[in-house]
Amino acid sequence: MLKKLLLTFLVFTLVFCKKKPKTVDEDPAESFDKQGMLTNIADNVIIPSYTVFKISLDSLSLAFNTFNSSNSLIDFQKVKSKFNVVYLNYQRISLFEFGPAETNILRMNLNVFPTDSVQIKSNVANGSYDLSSAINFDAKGLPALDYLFYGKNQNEVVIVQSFSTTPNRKQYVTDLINDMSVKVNSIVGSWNGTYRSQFINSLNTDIGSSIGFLVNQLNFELDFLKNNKIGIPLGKKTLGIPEPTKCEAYYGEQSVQYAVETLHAIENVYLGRSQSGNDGKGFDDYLEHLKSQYNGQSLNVAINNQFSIAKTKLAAIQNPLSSQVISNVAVVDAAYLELLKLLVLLKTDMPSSLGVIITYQDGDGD
Amino acid sequence: MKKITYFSALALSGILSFSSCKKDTKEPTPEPTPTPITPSYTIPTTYSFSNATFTISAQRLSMLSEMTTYIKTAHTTTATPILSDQKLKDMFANINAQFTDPSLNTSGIQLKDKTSNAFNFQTDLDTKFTDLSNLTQTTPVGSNGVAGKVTSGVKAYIFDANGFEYKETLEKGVMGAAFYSQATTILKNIATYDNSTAGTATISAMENAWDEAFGYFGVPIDFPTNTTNLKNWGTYCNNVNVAIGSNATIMNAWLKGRAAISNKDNTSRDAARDAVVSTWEKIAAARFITYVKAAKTNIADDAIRNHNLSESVGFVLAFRYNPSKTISDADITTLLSYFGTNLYTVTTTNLDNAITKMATIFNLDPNTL
Repeated sequence: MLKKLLLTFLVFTLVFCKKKPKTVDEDPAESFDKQGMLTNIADNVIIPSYTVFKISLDSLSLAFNTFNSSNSLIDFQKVKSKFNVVYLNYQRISLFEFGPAETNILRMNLNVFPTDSVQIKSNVANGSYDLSSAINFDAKGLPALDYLFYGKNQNEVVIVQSFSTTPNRKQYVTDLINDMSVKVNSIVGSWNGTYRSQFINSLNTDIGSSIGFLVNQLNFELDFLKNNKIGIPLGKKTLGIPEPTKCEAYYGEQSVQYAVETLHAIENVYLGRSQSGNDGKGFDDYLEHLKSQYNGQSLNVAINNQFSIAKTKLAAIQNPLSSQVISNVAVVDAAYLELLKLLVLLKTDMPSSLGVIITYQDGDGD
Repeated sequence: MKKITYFSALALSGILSFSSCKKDTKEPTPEPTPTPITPSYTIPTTYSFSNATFTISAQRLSMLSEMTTYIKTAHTTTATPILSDQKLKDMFANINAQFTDPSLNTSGIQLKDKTSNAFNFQTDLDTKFTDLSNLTQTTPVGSNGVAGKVTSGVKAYIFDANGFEYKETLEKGVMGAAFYSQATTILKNIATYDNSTAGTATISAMENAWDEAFGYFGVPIDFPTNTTNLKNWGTYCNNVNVAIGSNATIMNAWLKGRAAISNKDNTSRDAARDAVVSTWEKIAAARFITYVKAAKTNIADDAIRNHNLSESVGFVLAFRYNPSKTISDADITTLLSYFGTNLYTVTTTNLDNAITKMATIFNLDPNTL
């Protein structure tokens, strides 16, 4: 009897313990090549996007220097065209706000909108300002340049004159571009230095892990797209009263194009796809590997379908968004709703499959 | 032997195998508490000492909660209630039965007489109550140089003209000048309390003092298994637990110290006291870093930034009330200088400086916070 009991003991002990795998491939979450995914995202998505952004920013800087000397209309038009490229390229790096970008608070430094035109005018008039002061974060970055280059309903010739007759205005633009360059160069330096290796070797999914960062920031960016780029101008926070001046790129009127690009960037990270369309290891592969389900079908398929619908609805909005939120509410609202559905999938279903905690909205409750 | 059925054997083997399997969930590793000698007495796993009582400190925590709840009725985008400064002053001194919980009104205790005025805090608080009350008569929109309500989405705060939040001046202020000050002073002087009746049915003065200090920490007796109903410092401890393992470290020290007192084990008592005080200070430092980081991330948002900075500054000011503090006065001055006198014009350079400084002083890694 005693022997029998001991045997039962032993057998059950072995059976129960076997659940904890010594051989890693028994646990799908363990056997997925996370390092392969992170390496792909770092080398084919993140680093090239930063590099392209940096090159376009350097190019804007040169173009502005040329205009600074010539004061010519043609050179100014070149500046504006370079600026549009920079702002578009920014949409492809915005979501990587962790590690070096978090240290440099890139979103805050580059894209706080609506911009404060009163503060900008005051800074230009004073000719002295501290761009690292809290008071100037809505008077700098791309939205400030958007205001300075386009103005509202202002003739291009008049804007060129305002530069040629106001050295402070030129200096302010130069300082804003330099301020952005310093931040971006620091980030590019880190990724080309030690941070890449830190990023691809962080293989957990807990707070502070690379996967944790990506999933959180992917959702932050989608939330930001849904609320700040579409919802707020549409009046979602103001009882349906539209706030057209709160559009991104309000002065240059590129809001829709930038919103579409933002969604494209989010999708690229999800798929592990480069800007040129090479589809490597991404979260889609991760979810398929885990066989994650959503309403009886593959969660990945559900997410892909929703990306597709949201992209179509977003692209259906005509430019400029600032007038569409007044004259074509139904079309904008349709895009908003599809973004919301996508957000539910990416923010609730995906993180629970991956074991990632969404922390970016943690306030202190006060 | 025959009575052992197959089923019970199965259950038993299940239990044994469960405990013999290696856990792979990562728990934060608490810092080891120095225990010079292995005590011969039992240290309970919850603060359920037979004669323990900390009603008085717990009631003071409730009083502060009611005061902040009252101020927060004005922290909304939709309502503009007028706050009475007299009511706040009455609540602070517990006169005229202003609390909604009647047991607080009749408790015979108050916040005011336990709040240090070492840095003119009581005097400043009186002025702040009056200013806040006056502001809520008209509720102007606050901005740099203008006291008033500042909003962000559904969040709303009332700041003074320099961006300091009235509610935080009270809440963090009392947490420092009363709760932290009282507890750390008791702990410093713990050896001076009479302990002749320790371990008997009659609670000793030393046991009682330790209990009172524990009460100011704001956690339930079965913390950290239970993390509900945390208050003030208890909340902050739990907030930073993942990064610094503070929950188990400090709770174990509270339990060890109390058991040591009841068993007249002064060496263990002092070791546990030191662990409580140093962990508590580290909690403040860690939470400070998380608040400054949040302010930085929201640098362009006047409401969120100023709120987080008001919290941050509150922690630095609180350090001053600990008679056993390890942070130097010079470091406190340096840290405060990074925030300046106006939170609307704080710079990211200085916020980075503040994070680095605090991390260096307490050997913390800001990236994990």
